[in-house]
Amino acid sequence: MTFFLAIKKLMNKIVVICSLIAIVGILLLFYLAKVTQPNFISLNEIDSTYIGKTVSTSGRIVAITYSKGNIFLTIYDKNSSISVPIFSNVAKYLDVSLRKGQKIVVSGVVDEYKGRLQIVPRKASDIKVVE
Amino acid sequence: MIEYLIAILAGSFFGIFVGLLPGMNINNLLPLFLTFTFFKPEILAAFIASVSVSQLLAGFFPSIFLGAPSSETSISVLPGHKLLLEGKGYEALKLCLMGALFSIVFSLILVVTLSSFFKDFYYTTRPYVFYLIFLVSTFMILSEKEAKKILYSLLIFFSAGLIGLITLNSPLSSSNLLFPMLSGFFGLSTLIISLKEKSYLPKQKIEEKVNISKANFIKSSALGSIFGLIVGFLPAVGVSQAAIIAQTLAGLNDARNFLVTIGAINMANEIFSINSLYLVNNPRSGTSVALQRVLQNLDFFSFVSILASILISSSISIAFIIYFAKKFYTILLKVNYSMLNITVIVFLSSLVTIFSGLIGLMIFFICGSIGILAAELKVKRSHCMGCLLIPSMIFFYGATNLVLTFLFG
Repeated sequence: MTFFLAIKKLMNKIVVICSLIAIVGILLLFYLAKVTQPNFISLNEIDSTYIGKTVSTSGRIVAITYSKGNIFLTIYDKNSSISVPIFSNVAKYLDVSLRKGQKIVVSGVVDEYKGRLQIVPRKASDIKVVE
Repeated sequence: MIEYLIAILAGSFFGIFVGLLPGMNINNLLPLFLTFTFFKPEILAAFIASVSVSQLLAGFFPSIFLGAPSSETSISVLPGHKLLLEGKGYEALKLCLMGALFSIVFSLILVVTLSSFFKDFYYTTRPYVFYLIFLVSTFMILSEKEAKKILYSLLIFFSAGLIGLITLNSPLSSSNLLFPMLSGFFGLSTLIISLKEKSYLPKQKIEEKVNISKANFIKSSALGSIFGLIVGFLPAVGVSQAAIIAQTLAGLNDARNFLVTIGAINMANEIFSINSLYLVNNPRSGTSVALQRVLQNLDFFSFVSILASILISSSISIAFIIYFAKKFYTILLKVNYSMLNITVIVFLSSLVTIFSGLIGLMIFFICGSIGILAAELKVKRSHCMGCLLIPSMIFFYGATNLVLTFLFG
């Protein structure tokens, strides 16, 4: 009974409580999103269980093609390779020129296209040339 | 042949069981199915397609009767719960299921007649999608009419949009966070409002006749099929966004029409995802990814047999779900409705924590708060769909890079 009374009291202030939860919650989420770095996963460890997750990985560019403003990379490391499609809305903001042989660190969402895994970067700063 | 039928039957009943559990999603089970390598690929494909379609259909039951949706059925909670509290939960369920069933026919007609157009669908429509979503969002907000309510709607829409961006596009993002977000906005808020308003489950009317004219039913179901097509081919547009776009564009303010459309969109999306896999070898849903893995190459025979599995499984599932609803609601009537709501909240919270972790639980409660705020401020809770509409708008405008760099560096 006391439990239901406590719930009733809370319900009377529901707009205030919900506004507070929403404001504090959004700020907290925003802070977490700012400070969280995607998990670094070695290229050979990325499999279909990572689909939908944001990860960071590194590899050497072994193939690069351009089409309609999009850049399609294949990166290779430890006997594994993965596609990295950089779509035109991200590619046009890249401040580095990408070439075969460069080692890059890329962050993005793991996805599958035509049966092949890929990492899709969402913004230009998700691609960093390290070597 | 008999193996196919057994696989379809087994898949249908397993899918119904999964769908009836509040908040469950087939995507959590697909990795398990892929280990069933002892079955012939075609048989396993028929099983997976049957589980997928029957869990989708059964998912409307917890969404309407318990206010506990999955990601796909989340938007059906609002009109479904409204009818439930009027004693018409059974009718609401039937409308969703009938919309889905008729959508199979409409979708197959669309597949046969427009197949050659599908390959270019994405490139043809893509330049206009931003404008479509922008207009729909604007219309949705302005439909509140009073200045104060428009302001509240904007607040709800943009708060939801910010959460959507964080959930879907930040380093925190993961496909597992979609469930807590949508369940929070539409499920948790419905359950807490029911608790607050001390809603009780009125005696439900079990009538076979549904209160919708034939013309409206056909219009809503056809519209749902067409919008299911959009979901099946355009990235960043899901079933919930499509339902809101269809509702706003066609003025489906009546709960019944909207429920038919939601049922149809979900089913059409299943069919078009498989069609997309067949035509362009591009899986657009968890189920089609699994089918692609099982079959490697989806030829015409496999495509037709999967469609047949969907048709048979839907018929079995709909008959069983309707039978189950008739029996189960009498049990629901005997249960203390407030206690039932609390139990479902605890169950959903546990499920969210298991599948999405503490971040998921946090998102679940934040989104729940925003959903409650919308209801308390007397504006439509569908403004919470800003969580998906804003990220889609940004994507189709080509501003994802700019917005994400600005927000998260």
